[in-house]
Amino acid sequence: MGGLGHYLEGAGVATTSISLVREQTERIKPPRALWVPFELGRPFGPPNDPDFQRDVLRAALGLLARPEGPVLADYPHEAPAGTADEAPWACALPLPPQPPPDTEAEALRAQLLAEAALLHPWYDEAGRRTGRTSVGVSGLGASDLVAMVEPLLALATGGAPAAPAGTDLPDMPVGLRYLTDDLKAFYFEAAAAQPGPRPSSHNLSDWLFGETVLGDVLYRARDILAAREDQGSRRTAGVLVPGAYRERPAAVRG
Amino acid sequence: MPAMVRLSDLGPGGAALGQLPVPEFEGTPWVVPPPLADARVAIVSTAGLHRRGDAPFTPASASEYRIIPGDADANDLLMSHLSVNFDRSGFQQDLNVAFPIDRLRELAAAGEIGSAADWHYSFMGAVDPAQLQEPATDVAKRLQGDGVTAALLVPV
Repeated sequence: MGGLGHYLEGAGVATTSISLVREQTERIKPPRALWVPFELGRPFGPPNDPDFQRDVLRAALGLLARPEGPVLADYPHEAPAGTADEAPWACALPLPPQPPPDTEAEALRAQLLAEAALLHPWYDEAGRRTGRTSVGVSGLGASDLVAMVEPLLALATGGAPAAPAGTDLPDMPVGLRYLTDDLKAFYFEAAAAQPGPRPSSHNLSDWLFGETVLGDVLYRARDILAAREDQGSRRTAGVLVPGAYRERPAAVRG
Repeated sequence: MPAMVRLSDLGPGGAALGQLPVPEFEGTPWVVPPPLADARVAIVSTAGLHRRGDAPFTPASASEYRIIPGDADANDLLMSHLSVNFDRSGFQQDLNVAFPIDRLRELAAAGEIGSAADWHYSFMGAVDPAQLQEPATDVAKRLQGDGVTAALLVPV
């Protein structure tokens, strides 16, 4: 990000930047940067808090009035409560019990599809509320959930994944990245739409990787890919499960 | 004083961030923009954003950028960043968490800035910054063509 500030300003366009990692910004010294104490992925703080977001934006744009630089200012407020990790949150859905480790592939498939079906009404509700969905980078939508999960299930149960028909995905397993991004987005949008306290990002990830069938399938697929030698498999293994969840949470069923 | 995010707090993703090369610059360029009330502002994101139907970002296209029209439907904006080590659930619930287009329009409507640009841009941040010099110079020309006087740079 800081590099872009140098390049754009060097080409004649004034810039002001949000900084999420202060150490990097200190080293790169872009013209103007506002460091914000928010988690990675949330440069303007919590979702659905326009007043707070507007304040961050005003603070970043305000740096354009500074007479000289480089400027690295600190935004003085943390993200408002309500997204705190300690906020109580649990997915209200009665997720199906997970099969014992040696269950046949078909049982795992049925349970994953049943889980996704339970989430589907809440995914639809999220879309009605926000008017948008972030599912779709794979070229598939939530109406194609079966096609979306098949390659992942095939891999997780010892088979060979094949790209869904009608998609323009990179060859498997590399293309799994986009399918799993869409599946995670489907799960997170559905879970965040349920009534009750607003879940933090950690609430959502703890739930997905610790309690859902999809989480279990992702770990199974990750372990299979990680044991292979080719670069495509190893890189894909690294993106099915984020680094912070590399170790299976103790709460994972199965 | 809020707790600072340090690379060491970010787990393996933070370690990877720390290993990204940091370009060396001699000095810092400085352009004096017009007063904020006259500024035309564009968002330049590194979140790997693009319109639904655009080619998603891949390792091979990591130094490319995507164009986001100022009037793009919120439902048409997707994120295909290559890293999974940052939160996406905020963006999934509210586009403005990573791409504050509604907030920018509000400031323009209130007269706090002159206008929001007709065109915004997204790169994908998981790349050696030096690879972005050429495309960034290209984006600078497009920004100037759109009359933009200030770019708001937004990482994830």
